[in-house]
Amino acid sequence: MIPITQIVIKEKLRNKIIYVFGLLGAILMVLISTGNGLSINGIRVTDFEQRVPVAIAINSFIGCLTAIIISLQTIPNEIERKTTHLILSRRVDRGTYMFALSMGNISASVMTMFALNLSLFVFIALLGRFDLMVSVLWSTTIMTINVIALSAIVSTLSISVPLFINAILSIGIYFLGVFHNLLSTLTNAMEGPSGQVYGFLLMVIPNFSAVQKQAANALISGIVDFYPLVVQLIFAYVAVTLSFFMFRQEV
Amino acid sequence: MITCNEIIKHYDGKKVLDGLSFHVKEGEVFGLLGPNGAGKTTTIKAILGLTKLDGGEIKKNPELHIGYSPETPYFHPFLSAYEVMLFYAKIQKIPAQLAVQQTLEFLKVVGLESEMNKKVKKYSKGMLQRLAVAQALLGEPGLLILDEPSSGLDAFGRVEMKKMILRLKREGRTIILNSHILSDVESVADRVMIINKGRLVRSVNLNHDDGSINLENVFLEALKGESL
Repeated sequence: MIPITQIVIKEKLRNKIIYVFGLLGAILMVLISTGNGLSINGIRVTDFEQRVPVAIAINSFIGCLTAIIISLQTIPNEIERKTTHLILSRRVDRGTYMFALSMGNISASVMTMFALNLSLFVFIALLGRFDLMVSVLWSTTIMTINVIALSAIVSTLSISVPLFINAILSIGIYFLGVFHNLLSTLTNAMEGPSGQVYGFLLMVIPNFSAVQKQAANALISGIVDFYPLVVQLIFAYVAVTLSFFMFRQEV
Repeated sequence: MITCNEIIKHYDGKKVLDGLSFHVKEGEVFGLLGPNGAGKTTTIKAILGLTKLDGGEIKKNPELHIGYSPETPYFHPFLSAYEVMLFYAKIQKIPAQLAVQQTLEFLKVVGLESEMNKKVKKYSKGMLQRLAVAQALLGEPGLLILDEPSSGLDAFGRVEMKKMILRLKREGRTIILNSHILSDVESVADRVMIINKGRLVRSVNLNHDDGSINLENVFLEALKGESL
């Protein structure tokens, strides 16, 4: 299993799109860290401490989009190139193979997220704000949980859902997850069976906003509620476990 | 070595394999011939266990290790041939030392030993086909399936491929050879099975051929009157 995962990581880290996103992230970090033009709701953000959460949020957004791009095509590509035939003819279990590919996607997504955050750490170091280092590291690590969950879900869906539909589904899941708390509030306000249906639908959407909130808490107060993080990791675990059982009839 | 009994496979309601039966003996080169859409690739996929049959059975030793060389091999272009071989050796859980030994040995067999550190993206079609055969040899498989090994090769490449298959045959390997090039099959195969529409049309023994069998004529004759 490990060689398959390693080869996926090697392949993904050669993907030009990742470097484009990485460069974009680095440019945004330069603008956020050094510029004075950043304003939120018309209020000028001048302190570096105030800019860091914005930088982490942007990195998280780019990291999640990159995770989708990374995870969308790996498995369909393997089937398209018929690499599946070479692997499976060697009596490698189908489930293990899909799991290894999914793990490759997750690892590559996490590495990309790390690379994106690296520029932020560089700026923190350059500005001599070493006091922020631990809380930023803790916050970005929490944000990475979202990337893991998203990559796991997209990978598993890619086994049996066509590429284009999966792309739409994945972006949909991400945005529903980001607005999860808002949608929960709206659903709770709804009456009757439709409220229950929407409530159930929200239960199967991972709560990205809850994780983001904990990342913000880690940055501001250092006090983190682990429950939403564990729930998100369970989502990732269930998704990646499902990759063992999902397989296209014909490969 | 391997026996297919009345194997049946449907794709989208269309019968691709229609009760096909054959037996491959140990140590022989078994040619699989037929027009496009005859069911050759599906037969190979069935033997490899890549497709679920709708009927019939394939009898083989559960421990039988099959080496497979696909028609259009894809290897990660950023790897060298040496790395590709080690990758597939690792997947087969071949011990590291043996993996290196077999890698060097089989790259030599296919004539790629001098090019083994070159990235696969720089390989020609012929070199990729030879690498595909080399990776199929890893782990000393009991059965080797070569699917159109000369596909897309120029005349020189075809001659090289034919020489290589003859060399493997001399080593006593059991080979299923799927090829469109009748002359190549004729010169290396011990037995040939001609199929059409998933059915066995004719089986020809070339083992004791004294030159009286012209496979091209046999092929055309066998398919005469058959709707293609």
